[in-house]
Amino acid sequence: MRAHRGLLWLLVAGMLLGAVWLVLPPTTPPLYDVVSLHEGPYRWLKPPPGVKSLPPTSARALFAVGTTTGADIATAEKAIPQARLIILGSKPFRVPAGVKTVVITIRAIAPPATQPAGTYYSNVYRFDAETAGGLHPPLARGADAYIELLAAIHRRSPVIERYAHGSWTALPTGTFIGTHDFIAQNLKSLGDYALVLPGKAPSAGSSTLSKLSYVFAGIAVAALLVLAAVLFLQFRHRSEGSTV
Amino acid sequence: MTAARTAALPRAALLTAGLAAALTLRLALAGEDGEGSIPAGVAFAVALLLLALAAGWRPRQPAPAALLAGLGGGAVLVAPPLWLHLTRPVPVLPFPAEAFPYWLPAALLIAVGEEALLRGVLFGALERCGGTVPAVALTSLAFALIHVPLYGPAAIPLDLVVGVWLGSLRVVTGGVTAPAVAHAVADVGFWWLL
Repeated sequence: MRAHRGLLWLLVAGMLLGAVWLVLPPTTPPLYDVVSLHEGPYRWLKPPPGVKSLPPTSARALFAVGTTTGADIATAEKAIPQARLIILGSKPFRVPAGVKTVVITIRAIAPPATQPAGTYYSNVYRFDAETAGGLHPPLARGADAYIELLAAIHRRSPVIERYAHGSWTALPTGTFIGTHDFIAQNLKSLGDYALVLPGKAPSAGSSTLSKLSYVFAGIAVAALLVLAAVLFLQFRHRSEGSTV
Repeated sequence: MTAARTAALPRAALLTAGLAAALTLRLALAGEDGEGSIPAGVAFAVALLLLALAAGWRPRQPAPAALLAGLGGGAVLVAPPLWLHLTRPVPVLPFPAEAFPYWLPAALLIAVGEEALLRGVLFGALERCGGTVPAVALTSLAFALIHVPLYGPAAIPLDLVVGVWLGSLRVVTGGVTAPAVAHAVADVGFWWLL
């Protein structure tokens, strides 16, 4: 009877698990509980006031047109990068006949004069492709290209915006659950992109937050000790009661 | 029987309050690093283990059957993302391989801490209060909710059903070993599959 009940539990739980996996968005990673790792503090090109930062890194890769079946270019190789471009397929660029290679670059650039309607949560990154002749070939129709941007601020959900022709446009933005990595799929073109939190900047300075954090940590530790003591006394009381 | 039930209710409440305090500690220590803070994750796990030990949970030598059930349960948790990983051309996040030795003990400690408290002492108290269904449901809900501050509300559906799966392993095997092993296998799988 117990075995049957247990199997029923597993069957129901397994079906629920399968159903949830079927409806999850494709960018959902297998999250259960994990400690993720970034490359370290965010590297700002123009750090916010009071923030010290190392300069951001850039990336450069050679793409062999018609030969390479995809490209994965990132500003960091051994950690979650701040910026990344993934291109699938062998002919993602519309290049003139005879062009055999395209150089793809990612680099942080100074924010344009026109500000987005929100707060920058990342550097502005320029994703570019260039032929040996100095042409900047556009993405081919139907090209499968993604960009990923890491958020410098781990509060709220920003969106990826593209800067072109003097204005910012928000793109449908997905996220890898459990990370601060944001992704825009099916890019129409390369260019300048940034993570932006629409609306006003969150208040609360970092120093205030840090002091509050210490207060909360102290209260939590005190509460934990009291609760553990009560639980232990309860446990001892029950143990003594059961042995009498 | 009624006395045991009556005693279990405040115990469940105390354990839930302890879980909330442990989560507060983790968030306060992590600051802007969120789930990326290994020290905060370790402090969270230690707090959970302290609460579980105070409430009477004691680690025992795991039974081979429970270990096998845990490995099987972990394989089920890893199977869907593995399938997605192999069949869909979705971008993946490169985690630094050299950080794995530091990450692994922290992830295992967190998995064991969560299971000792949720599927261990809290599950036992809730089961005595209201039976198996409330125990599975409430520990799954707690499992999903403790991940929200770190991973956002989008993580709720998956963590909720993973909680039900781990709770089912607890029901089938009658102990914490199987869900703890399954949880650990899933976390390690996450590292390699993401």
